[in-house]
Amino acid sequence: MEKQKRALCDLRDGESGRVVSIGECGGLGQRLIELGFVSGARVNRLFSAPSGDPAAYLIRDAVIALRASDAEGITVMNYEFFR
Amino acid sequence: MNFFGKLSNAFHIHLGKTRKKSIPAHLKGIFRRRGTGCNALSEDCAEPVVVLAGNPNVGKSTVFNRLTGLRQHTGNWAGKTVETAEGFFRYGGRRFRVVDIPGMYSYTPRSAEEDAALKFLLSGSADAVVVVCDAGCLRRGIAFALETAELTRSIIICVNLTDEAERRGIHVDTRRLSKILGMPVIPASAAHGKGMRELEECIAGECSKVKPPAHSGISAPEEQKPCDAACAASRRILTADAVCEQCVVRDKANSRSKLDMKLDRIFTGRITGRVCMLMLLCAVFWLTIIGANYPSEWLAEIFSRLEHPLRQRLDFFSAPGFIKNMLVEGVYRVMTKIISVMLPPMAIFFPLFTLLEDSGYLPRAAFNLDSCLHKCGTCGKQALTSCMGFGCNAVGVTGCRIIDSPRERIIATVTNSFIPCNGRFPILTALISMFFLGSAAPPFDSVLGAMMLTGLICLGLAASFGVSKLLSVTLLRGTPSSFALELPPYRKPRFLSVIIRSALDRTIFVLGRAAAVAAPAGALIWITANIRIGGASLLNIICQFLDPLGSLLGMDGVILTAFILGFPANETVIPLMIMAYMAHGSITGSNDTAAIRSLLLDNGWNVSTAVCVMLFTLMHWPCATTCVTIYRETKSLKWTALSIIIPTLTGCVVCAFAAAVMRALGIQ
Repeated sequence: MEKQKRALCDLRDGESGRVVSIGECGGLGQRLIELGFVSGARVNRLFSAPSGDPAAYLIRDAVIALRASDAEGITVMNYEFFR
Repeated sequence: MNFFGKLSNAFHIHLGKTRKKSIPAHLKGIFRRRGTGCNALSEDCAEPVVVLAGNPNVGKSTVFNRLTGLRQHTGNWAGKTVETAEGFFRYGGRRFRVVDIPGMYSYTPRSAEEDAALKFLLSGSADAVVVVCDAGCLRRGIAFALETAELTRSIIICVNLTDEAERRGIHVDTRRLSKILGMPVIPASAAHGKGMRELEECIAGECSKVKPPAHSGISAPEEQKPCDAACAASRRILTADAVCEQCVVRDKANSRSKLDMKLDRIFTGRITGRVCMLMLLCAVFWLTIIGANYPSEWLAEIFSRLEHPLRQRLDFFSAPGFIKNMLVEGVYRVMTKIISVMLPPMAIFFPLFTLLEDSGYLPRAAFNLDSCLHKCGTCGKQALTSCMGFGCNAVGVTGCRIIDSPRERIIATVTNSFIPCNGRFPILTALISMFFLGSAAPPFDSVLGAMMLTGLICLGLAASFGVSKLLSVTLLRGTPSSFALELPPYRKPRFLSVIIRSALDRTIFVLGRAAAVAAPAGALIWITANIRIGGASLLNIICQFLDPLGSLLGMDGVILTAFILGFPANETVIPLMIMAYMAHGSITGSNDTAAIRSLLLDNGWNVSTAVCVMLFTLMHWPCATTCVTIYRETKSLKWTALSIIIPTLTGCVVCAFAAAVMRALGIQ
C-alpha cells in the first residue's frame, strides 16, 4: 500500500489521485485546504507550464496552478487504488 | 489636496474606478455615521448597506456594475479587484449602498485589505451580505458562505455564472440549496443581466427585516490557532461537499470543456505556449501601429487647421501678444500633439489588451512565466502585475496587492516601471516608424515595426526580471514564497462593448491628462523658451547645461530636459521635445511624421540617438502618478526613492553602454 502513496508533484500530466494528507507546504497549508485540497478529494494533474514547473491541477471544478515545491507537501494515493 | 493627489484622483476616475476608497477610510466613514448618531440627512442614515463578498473571479464586480450602473473594471482573473468600490441602487423608492470588496478564499486575513474587510463584516455595519458564488465551482462558494454565516446574519447567496455552468453541463438546484442552507439563493448571470431584479428584491426584503442586535460575542478567526483554523476550513469544505452533492447535477464527470482543454494545450504547450505569447504580443502591437497611423494624421491635420481660427479668436478678445503666443504656441500645440500622437495608439491598444484580460489569457501568461520568476526569487503573480503595467504603471503597482508576501510585493512594485506603459509606448512606436522602417515596403513595415516593438518590450521585461533577481539576492533576500494561481475557464469577451467602452475610457483619460498635465507643461516650456538671460533663452541654458550628460547617454540636452519635464506624464516627452527644438527657431507649421522626422534630423538625431532614446524611455524614473501610488502602497520613502533611483540608474548605464558600443561600431 505504501507504494501507492506519492507526492502530488510526482503525478504525471493526465494522471489523477486522491489527497491523503497535506503537510506544511510553506505558508500555503490553509490556503490549499480552502482551495479544496482536503483528504479524500480527487485531484487531476492537467498540464504543465512550458518549462515544466508550475503544473495545473483540477480540483473541485477549478484549475489551480501550483509550483512543484509547494505541491511536494501534498500526499496523494492512486485514484485507481480507491476504486 | 496637492497637485499629485489631484492627478492620481483624476486618473482613477478616468480608469472607471469611480467612488473608490480603501476600506479603512470607508470603515471610518461608516463608524462615524453610525457611532455619533445621525448627523447626515435622515434618508442617508436609513440607507441600508449591502456587501458583496465571495471568492475571487466569481463576477462580484459584474454584479456590482449591474446593480449600481457604475463601471468598475472587470477581468477574467482572480485578484482583478484590489480596492473596495462603493455605489448605490434604488429599489422600491429606497436607496441601498453597495460595497464591493476584493475576493477572498476565506476570512483568515492574509493582507491588510482582507483584514479590513473582515472587521467590516464583524462590526455588523452591513445590513445584508451577498455571497456571490460561481455556479461552476459551487462547493468552494458554499464553503465560503458557511464561513460568512459564522460571522454575520442576513446572507443572500447569489449563484452567478449559471449559463456558463449550464454550458459545461452543471445544473444547480437553487431551491433545494436554499432549503438546505436556510438562506435565500438567487440564480443569476450578471454578465447578461439575468437574476438582477430578483437579487434587488431579495436584498430589499432582507434589509427590511428586523435585525437582531449586532453580535458582539463573536471573535475574529485570526485569534484561533492555525491548526483549529485549518480544521474548521476542512470541515466547512466537507459540509459544502455534502450540500452540493444534493443540489448539483452533472451531465458528465469532467466539467472542463473540450475547447478549454484544447486552448490550454496550445497556450501552455512547451513550444506553442511561448510562440503564442510572443505572437499575441506582436499581433496587438501590429494592430496598434497600423490602426493608429491614419487617425493620427487626420487629427494633426484638423488641429493645425484650427490654429489659425484660434489665433483670430484671441485677436478678437485683444489678448496681449505674450499671452496669445503662450496659449497658441505653448499650450495649444503641446496639447494637440499629445492628442494626435498619443490618443490613437492608446485608444487601440487598451481595448485589445482588455480583450486579452477578459478572455482569461492573462493568468496563462503568468503560468508560463512563473518558472522564470521563480528563478528570480519572486512570485509568479508578478507577471500579472507586469501585464497591468502595460496599461499603466500606477495600476500595476496597485495590482501588486495580489502578491501575498511583502518581500515579493516590494520587488514587483519597484520593477514595475520597467514595463513601458500606455503613455510610453507611443514614443517607441513613433521613433520606430520614423527611424527604422524607412526602406521597408508598406505591408511589411508595420509587421517589422511590431516585431521591433515586441523586442523592445521583451527587453523591458528582461530588465524587470533581472532587477528582480538582483533585488532578491541583495536588498530583499529571501526564499520565494508559495504560489497558488487559479486558471479560470476561458470566456468569450463581449467584443463590441469591451472595445467601445475601453476606447472611450482611454479617450477621456488621454484628454483629461492632456488638459491637466500637458497644458501647464506646454506653458512652462514656452515661457522658458522665451525668457532671455543674456541673449540665450532659459530653455537653451538648461539644455546646454544638460548637454554633456545627454551626449554621454547618446542623447542631447533637449531630450533629457523633455524627459525631466515629462515627469508628470510621459506622454508629453515627444511633444515637449518638438516644442523645444522648434523654440530654437527652425521650423513651424506642418505636423506630420515626415516633418517631425526632418526636424529631429536637423537637430542632430541619428539612428544611435533614436536607439538611446528608446532605451531611456524603457528605463527611467516612473511618472509622478506612479511615484505617488508607490508611496501610497509601500508607505515608505525609502522604497519610493529606490523605485525612482533603480530604473534611472539602470537606464543611464544601459544608454551609456549602448551609445559607446554604437560609437565604436560607427553606427550613425
